[in-house]
Amino acid sequence: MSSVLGRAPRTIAVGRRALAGARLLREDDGVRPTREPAEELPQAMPIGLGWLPWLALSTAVGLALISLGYAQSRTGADHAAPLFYGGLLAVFVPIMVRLTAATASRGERIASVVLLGLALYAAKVLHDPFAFAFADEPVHQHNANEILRTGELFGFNTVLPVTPRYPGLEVATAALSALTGLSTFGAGLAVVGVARGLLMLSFFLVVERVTGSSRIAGLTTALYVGNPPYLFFSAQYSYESLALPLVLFILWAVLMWQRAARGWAPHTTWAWSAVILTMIVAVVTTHHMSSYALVGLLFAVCLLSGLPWTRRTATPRPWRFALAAGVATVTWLGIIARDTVGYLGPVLTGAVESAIGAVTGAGATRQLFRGTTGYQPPFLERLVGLAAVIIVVLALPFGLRALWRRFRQEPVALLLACAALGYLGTLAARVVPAAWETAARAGGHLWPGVAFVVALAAIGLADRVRILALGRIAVVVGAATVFMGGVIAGTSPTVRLPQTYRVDVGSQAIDPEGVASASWSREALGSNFGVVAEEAGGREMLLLARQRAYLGPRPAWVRILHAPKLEDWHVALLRQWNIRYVAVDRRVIADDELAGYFFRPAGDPEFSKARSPRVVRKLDRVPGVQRIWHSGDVAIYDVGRLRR
Amino acid sequence: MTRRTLEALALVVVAGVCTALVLIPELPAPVRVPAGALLAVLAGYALSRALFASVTVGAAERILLTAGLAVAIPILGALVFQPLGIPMGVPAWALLFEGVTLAGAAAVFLRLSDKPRPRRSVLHVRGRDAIALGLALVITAGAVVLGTKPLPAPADVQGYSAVWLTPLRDGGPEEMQLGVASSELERKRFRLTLDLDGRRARTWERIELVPGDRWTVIMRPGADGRAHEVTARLYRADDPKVVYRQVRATAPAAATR
Repeated sequence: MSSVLGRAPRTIAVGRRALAGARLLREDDGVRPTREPAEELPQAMPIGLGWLPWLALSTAVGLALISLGYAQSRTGADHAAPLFYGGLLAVFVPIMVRLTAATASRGERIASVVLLGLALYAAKVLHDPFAFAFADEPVHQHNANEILRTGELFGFNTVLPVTPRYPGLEVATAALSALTGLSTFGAGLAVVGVARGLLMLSFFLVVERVTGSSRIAGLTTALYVGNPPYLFFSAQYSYESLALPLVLFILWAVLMWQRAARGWAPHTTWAWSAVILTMIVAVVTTHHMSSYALVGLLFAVCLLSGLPWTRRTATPRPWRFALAAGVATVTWLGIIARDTVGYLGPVLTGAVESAIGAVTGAGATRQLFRGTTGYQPPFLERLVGLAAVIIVVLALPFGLRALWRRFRQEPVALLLACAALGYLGTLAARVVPAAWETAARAGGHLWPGVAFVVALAAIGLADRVRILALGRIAVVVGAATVFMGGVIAGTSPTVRLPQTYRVDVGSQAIDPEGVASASWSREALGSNFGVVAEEAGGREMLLLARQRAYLGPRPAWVRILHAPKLEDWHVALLRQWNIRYVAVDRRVIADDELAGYFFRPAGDPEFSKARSPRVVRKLDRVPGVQRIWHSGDVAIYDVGRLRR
Repeated sequence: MTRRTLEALALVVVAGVCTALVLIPELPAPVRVPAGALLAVLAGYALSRALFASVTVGAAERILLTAGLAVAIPILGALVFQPLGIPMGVPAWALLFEGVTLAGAAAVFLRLSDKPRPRRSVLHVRGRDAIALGLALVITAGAVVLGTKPLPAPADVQGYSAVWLTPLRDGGPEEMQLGVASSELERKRFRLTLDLDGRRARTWERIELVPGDRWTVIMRPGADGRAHEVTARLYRADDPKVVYRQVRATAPAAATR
């Protein structure tokens, strides 16, 4: 490999073992006081790009393979999956090979991990290049549109009413959209793209500050992409995708503030404080769970700094920032976002009750590798998914041992260790049906700790087994397995490869029925009507038609849609909520917030399943109800007369 | 001209030009998109320079501070605009970013040291590196073009057509619109029938639509002073016996004088 990709120029080469996990906290990394005499600074020297151009080339080839795989999937051709997985490996493996080497420069490592993050984000963007089609994306895009339309915050959102109360992402999007003239789709992609870059760079710098090693930081950051939600879920246009990188940014800024306050550059502590407080406000106004995580994180750093072996007299604890974050979060929750309690409460309560039920034997357990629809992935996917978990579980003890020996005096390192241990707990919770989603999400938040601890184990292995570079090879293979396992575990098999959304028909391109019906409703009926719809169609009605779309189980919209007969209590509910239209979708998949937006391939049993005509046509039998739009799968009924 | 003067002046001039450009309505996208994006980046950069004028910040840290602050500026700005009732439109955002950049430039002018900066390492790009980077760019561009191009439908995906019947928006109370839109994968011919109270009132024998086409007609079924139950049925010419789409509505009676 090295003969193909070239050697690092001698000007940046350092001793092979110089950075092998050793504690090399250099005070001139990144930020230096200018008051330092110029003659003591290193002289300018030429720095080569190292492997970077070749890594960029392999990444580009990987992206091309992914794009080709997506095109194959959209046109129903074969070999889509091998191209997709091959492309992901072409992006990941060469970067991982370089990051395991001791010879790469700091700059090369930073550029590599940012390149990795942005390339994987490009894979998500190319997955849905025409419109936002992940669960929460249309909901947030609607909020951004409302800010642009009204010039105000806190607009209406009937699908996820809590989201307008956390407008950080949408404000940034609306501002960029207004300045550039881009649509909120284009501006939203750009904002999340910036957030992806922030995530990789912040995490790298945090780990580098904690360990003093850019090698550990590079490996940790690269392993972070093995986090199951990383590829798609955490890259969607959703408030969490911006808030999480900002939390890591704050952690880095706190470490820099501590370093400045230790006497390195005390005159900059106010500047770091200003940055931290600014970012705290940004996080608190962007995402509820991230703001709670931030408060917990800052308090944990303070508490861990008080342990006998971490206590350093010169290092101040960030109590003031923890308190500021706590006050800001509670204030925002109490004044602006009171709905959050009602929104998060049932999810968390359900998870806890289900977990207790599973432990006591009273509740049902969930079978691993089996979806709610009964779908079971192929053997190879199950094997890779399981192997990824086994590798992580096996690596954790070695990594924790290395952490304890080298970095136990660092509070943030201890915090990451706690997160890694917490991740083990989430693995057990994944067999509990109602706790599965919470466990999977919590696992995603705990993954930075997993990545850090596994990276320490990986470096130990790479440096101990040096015959024929077997240690490095094992690390790269293991990391690739963890990454692919994350991709498999973190994405729904139905939409892991893109479905057909926009179809070329010569001089025109046509979109699916949901888009057509929502666009028509805006044009022909106007906006701001109460519309009951399926999960996918409701989101399209909200986004494309600005209707007050109601969907899901609360209070009982899905029961009205899927009942064989319109009952009296259905009518009462429609009246009570001032519903004017009901959009009926024949496709069972329309109830899926991830997969319900696409054309229906007749050969795919998952997509072609249809509801019974009795259910679909029940409103035809109700006097006074008018079917005003019919496009095959979708019919829109005017139920206005039922309100009288 | 000293370094700090030059940097402050550059910030002021470039931000001013960008602000002027984004405030011009109907500016072509190739000019407006980079101008708007640069204005946001400049504000983040200027703020980071203002805050850390007394230290030398590395490239990675500078990029991180610039990007993070550029994202945070509009979020904090919105929290000021909202209670003050300032509409969050193009002028507000442009002036916010411009204002932050000017403040940053002023701080740079006042606080930045004129001492010579420590000499930084110079990037050395070899010819083969440039070729590899160029190839990477070309391949990435190809991947993006392929990924964002609408492609022909798979063999098992069918197109669809829609029919609708609604009171005409912005029309008279008794006016209704009947329409057909084709999102079929090829040119299709249809027959459309219209029944009033169960009796055939009108038939359109030959409606031929290419994908993306629409056909509409405005009707006044209640013009005779009575309300009617209106039913429209769409048939495909290649399957004329089977109702392809059907809609039904009640047409209100026209007001009589």
